Amino acid sequence: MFSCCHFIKGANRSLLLDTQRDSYYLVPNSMPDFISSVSNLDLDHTLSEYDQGDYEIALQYVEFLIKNDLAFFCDSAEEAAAFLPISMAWQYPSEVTNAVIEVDNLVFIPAITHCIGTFFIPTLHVIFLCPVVNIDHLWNLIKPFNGLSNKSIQISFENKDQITVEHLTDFCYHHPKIELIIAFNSQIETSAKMFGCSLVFTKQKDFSKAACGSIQQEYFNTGLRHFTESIQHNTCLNRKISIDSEGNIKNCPSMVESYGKIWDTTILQAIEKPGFKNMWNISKDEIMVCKDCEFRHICTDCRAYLETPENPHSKPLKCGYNPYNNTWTDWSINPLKQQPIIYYGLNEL
Amino acid sequence: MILILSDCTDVSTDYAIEWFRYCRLPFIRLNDIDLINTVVSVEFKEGKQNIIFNLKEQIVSLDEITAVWFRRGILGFQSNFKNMSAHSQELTDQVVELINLENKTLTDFVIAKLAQKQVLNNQNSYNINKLQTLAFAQELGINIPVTAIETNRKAVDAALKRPGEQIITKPIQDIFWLNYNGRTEAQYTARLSDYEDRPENFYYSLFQECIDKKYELRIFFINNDFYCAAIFSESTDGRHDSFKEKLPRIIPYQISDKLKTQLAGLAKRCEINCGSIDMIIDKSGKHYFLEINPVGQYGMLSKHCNYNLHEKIAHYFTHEKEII
Repeated sequence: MFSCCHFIKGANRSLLLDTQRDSYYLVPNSMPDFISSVSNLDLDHTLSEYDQGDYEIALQYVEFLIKNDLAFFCDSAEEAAAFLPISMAWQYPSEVTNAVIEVDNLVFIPAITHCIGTFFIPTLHVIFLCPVVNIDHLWNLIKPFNGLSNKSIQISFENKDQITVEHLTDFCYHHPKIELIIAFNSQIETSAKMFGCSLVFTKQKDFSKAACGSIQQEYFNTGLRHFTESIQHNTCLNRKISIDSEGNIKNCPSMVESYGKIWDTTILQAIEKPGFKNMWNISKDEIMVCKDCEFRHICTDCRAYLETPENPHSKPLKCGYNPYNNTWTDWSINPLKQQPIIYYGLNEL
Repeated sequence: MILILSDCTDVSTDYAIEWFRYCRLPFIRLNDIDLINTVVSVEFKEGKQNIIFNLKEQIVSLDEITAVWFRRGILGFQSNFKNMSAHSQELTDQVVELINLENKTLTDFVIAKLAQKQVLNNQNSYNINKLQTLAFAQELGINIPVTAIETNRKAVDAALKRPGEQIITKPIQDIFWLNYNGRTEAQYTARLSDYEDRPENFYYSLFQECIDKKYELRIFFINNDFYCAAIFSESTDGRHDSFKEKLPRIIPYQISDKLKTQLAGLAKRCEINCGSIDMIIDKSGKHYFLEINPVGQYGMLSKHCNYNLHEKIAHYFTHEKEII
């Protein structure tokens, strides 16, 4: 099999991930077992020892892999030995990779930028919870964040005054670092690409803390970087930092634990506090139920809303997938989840 | 202080300097225009030579420069001399020639002094002679395709024609971009059979036997460490047209120790210590060397094989000077 293809074994079936072509296949659990037993061996010879039924299935598997360009034949064992597995290492040259910053009260902005200082944050996501009156207002709001040390900026804002794609053309042109703009509570659902920036207009009303953490197939990521990060780290919180609307420095705005306030703590001090990085390394292989799920390493995660709030290794509350019967249902009406829903106050939304 | 000579469009430099920053390596990146007339003065006194640079408005002496990454940029000199209106064209031409000679001597000296630092490559080796590299490879016992430079069809057929086998042609030097009628076209490798109308006699052109390819190898090397990928693609050489084909498979591959030693020898003879090598493996498993390139892109290789090559480059500069 091409070493860019990986099996993720679940309770009932496996996911065959093709990281190079960003696709996946759902296959029986016997396929990864079969592949590991014949990989780099003489196929004809190995198959000749199978009984008739297994032989037929094995042939089907081989045919499936070749047809989808997932495997290839080598002429000798020496040739096969030259093909090494891809390293599963995940590395990134900065202390954090992304930050989520909620802005409600504009008075906080100088303290926010001061607390970040010269700290390098590759991707900065700014969520404006305060009303954005018009496009000129947005120009002013983003100004203090342009000067921070980062590679790219994403912004979300409540589209009170019905800002349109046309309004954002000039804005995108003058802000090459902005790669994503989400206008929530818009009257229309649309998306566009403008000077390398993705624009998303959504009718979704709420972008505050309680609206986050949903697990959906639309959020799946089939890339190698995500896969390798997921093997060792938490795919939501690893190397993330956030500042919530009250000025708390946290792992994510939706979580309870605060590691200091922006007025008396810098980002660097906060991440070095005991416990801050604990969440970074909770991988899907350690999370209840997720560890039996075939989607676990292409999935996102949420540690803020849990099925069992007191267990940090509990399954995300807002996931409607059951890996034991392979069905998706609406998590919010699941009777077993009503208790945590009330616990987090999500029923009031 | 590490000097990075690059150009402003080179993404590989962008990625590598993220690692430089993370490893707290002090550096200055100089792109094309930052590299002209950077020298403030060259002085020979008190038993030593010193060069003072003005690098993007920062005054730096030769002693402060600890290492140089010759990525793509070319350090050079340019006079603002235009013409001597009062004098003849003949005299103007001679002054221009004089200035060019002065510039060359100055550039060569500055580069020679920088080359004594810990360096990756050297700007004098950016454009290695392709024929020379084939010769080096052959002399080191690395297999190469049968190659001929000829001026007529008969000689090409005599040198290369085998029943049922194809012949390819490509530029003698590197790939060349032609601009005409607002279009840009590259001089790529082509099969001879692609040309319907072939003249009997022609200007010096390069021909090679067409290898019946199983897959290609792209090998990145830095300081005798080799990172290799096998590339499964349909194209006739190492270049791909992603619009026409499915994304080729690019997966980690390990070359033999013998080949490593040979390629290390080749790099040494080409006077480069970092670059990319293209090879082909044919259906019978035989290796063929195609080319070696010190300034090529390695981002795809790094990404698909998870080799983290940008970090390897930064890592090279965290070490004490090693003898190349």
